[in-house]
Parts: sequence; C-alpha cells; structure tokens
Amino acid sequence: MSEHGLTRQSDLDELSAWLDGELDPPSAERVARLVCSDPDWQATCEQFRAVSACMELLPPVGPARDLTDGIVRTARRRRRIGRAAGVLVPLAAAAGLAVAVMLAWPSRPAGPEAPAGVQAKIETILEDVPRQDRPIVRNLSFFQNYREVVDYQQVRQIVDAETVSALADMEAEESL
Amino acid sequence: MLAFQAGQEEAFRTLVQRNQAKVYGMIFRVIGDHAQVEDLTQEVFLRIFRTAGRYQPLAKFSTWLYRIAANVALNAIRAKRKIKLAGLELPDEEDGSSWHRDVPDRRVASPQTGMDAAELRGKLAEAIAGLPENQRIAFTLNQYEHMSYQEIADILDCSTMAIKSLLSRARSNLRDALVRYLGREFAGKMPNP
Repeated sequence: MSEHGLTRQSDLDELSAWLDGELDPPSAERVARLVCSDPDWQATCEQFRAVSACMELLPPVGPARDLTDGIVRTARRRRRIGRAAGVLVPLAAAAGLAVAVMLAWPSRPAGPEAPAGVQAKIETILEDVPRQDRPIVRNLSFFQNYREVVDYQQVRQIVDAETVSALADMEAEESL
Repeated sequence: MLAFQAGQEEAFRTLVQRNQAKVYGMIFRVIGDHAQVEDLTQEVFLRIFRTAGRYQPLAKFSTWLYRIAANVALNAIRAKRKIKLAGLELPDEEDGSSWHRDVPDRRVASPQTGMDAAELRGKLAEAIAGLPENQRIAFTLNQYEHMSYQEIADILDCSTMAIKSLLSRARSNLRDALVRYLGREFAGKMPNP
C-alpha cells in the first residue's frame, strides 16, 4: 500500500483549491505539474477526488411537502401579533409598574380581619361607590389601615384608571 | 425580493416557493434531522419577511439567503450543544441519526464498496456530521451548492483564504473518517497512517 501523501497544511490547501478551480493560473500550473510528477501530490489528489465522488452518492434533499402556505401564514400572523404588541406592551408595562408601586408601598399590617363594624361600613360604602371605583375601596388596606376607613374620594384623586384596573385584575386572580 | 420590499406581498410567496428546496437541502446537510430542518427552513424565511426592509441589492440575493440559512443552522447546532452539555439531551436512537433512514433509495449500491446503498449513505452522512460546524457548512456549500470560495466567504463573512483552509481541512477530515468507516474499500487509495 502506498505510503505517499501530503502532510503540510499549505500543500493540502493548494491541492484542495486546485481541485476547486480556485487557484490563479501560475499556481494552478505549478500544482498540476506536481500532481503529475510527485507521488505524494498524486496520492492525496486521488484521496480528495475519492472523497468528492463518495459525497456525490448522497442524493439531493428537499422538503417532503410544500412549506410555502405554512410559512406565509406564520409570517403574516407574527406581523399581526407584532403590531398588536406595539400597542399593548406599553399599556401592560404601565399597569405592571402601577402594581409594582403598590406592592412596594409601605405595607400596613393587613392583620386580622377588619373589625366587624369597619367591615360593615366598607360594605355600606361599596353600595354607593361607582362600580369602577370599588376595587379602590376594597383595597384600602394598601393605603390605609383597616382601623379607619378613608374617604375613597381622596384616594381616587391620586389613583389613575390603570391602577384601578390593575387592582381589579389582582382581585380576579385571587378569586380563581 | 425587491418586489416584496416594495410592498408586493405575493412576491414573498414566490420567493419561498422558488428557494425553499435549496434552503432546506443546505440546512439538512448541516443539521441532519428532517423535523428540525423544516422548522429551521421556516425560520429562515420568517427572518427574510421580518428584515426585508434592511435588504440591500449590493450582492446576489442568494448570498443573503444562504447567510441567513447558515446563521440559523449554526445557532441550532450551538443550541443543541448547550443542551447536550447541560445533560438534557435525549439518548440517541439506536440506529443513529435519521439521515440515511429518511433519504429515498435512489442510488444503487456502490460497486466499489459492496455495502448496500443505505448503509453507505449513512456512513457518508455520519462523516459530514462529524465535521466541525464551519467546515460542515463550507463543504456543503462547495460540494452541493457548487459555490465559489468568494461566495462562501461572503456568506460566512470571512476571507477566501479562510475558506480555502476550511475546505482543505474538511476534505482531510472526511478522508480520515471514510477510511475509518469504510476500511479497505477506501484504503486502497490511502497512504499508511
């Protein structure tokens, strides 16, 4: 069995490029002469040609089905979602920030359940409070101890609609 | 591509129809798993859809297309490697990758090797899969897409000298792998190690 073969990386690079037709004419001519005359160049050239010939035995590959419809559909759906997110994300961020502020608010002990008298007072107030403001009253413990009920109107002035909405969402989650 | 960039959405459909096979083929040769390759092929075209505004016709469209495909394939390889390192990968199937199993039997057995066609294809595919990722991509683009060194360099964003070295090393590695797998059948042309 032949013991010939190139070992220098630069020679291997030149031979490989010659086989790909990527050498300039003078270099190509030099390598061609070496392949004809030098057993090491000859042996390695045969090896590299055999590698390419073997690799051509792998058949062409393509998708088993037409992917076009799926790709176009997905692209359009993602664009719609992207446009919607462009509006919803800032709103969600504002609501999230409001909730974070409220959770970080110096906590008052929720403590034991509000005394029955105070609870009753809260429920009476709730009857008169507009529906959209009820989360504020129900969650006055964020702003005030249970021991006294604050006029929710004062709180309403400093709490915006997004925060009220966030409070309602929290209540909804807790009730699940 | 320019028509799509100008707002003609049906042009995107045409673009996908014309190019999905070559993108799929290129990624398959690099990744080897049909299920994953379908997802990755979709990802290539979704990126084109998303970034069409950034396309500039300074080079061939195919260069841009294959560059995205190469990046998607490389990211997939690296992600899989991270999963493997984290010990999260599922055990390999006993019969190895799906390369040769899913490829239709369109070729007769090589008269040189005497082994059946499916087995030979499996060994060849294993040899390619064993290449380092950049060599694998460069070899695939050169061998199967018949791209020039300059085209491959543009796709992989490196010099033609680097491509020259990548391809020569890929050939040497494949030669060594084929000697290991095919033994005497291939060794007839090999020097002693």
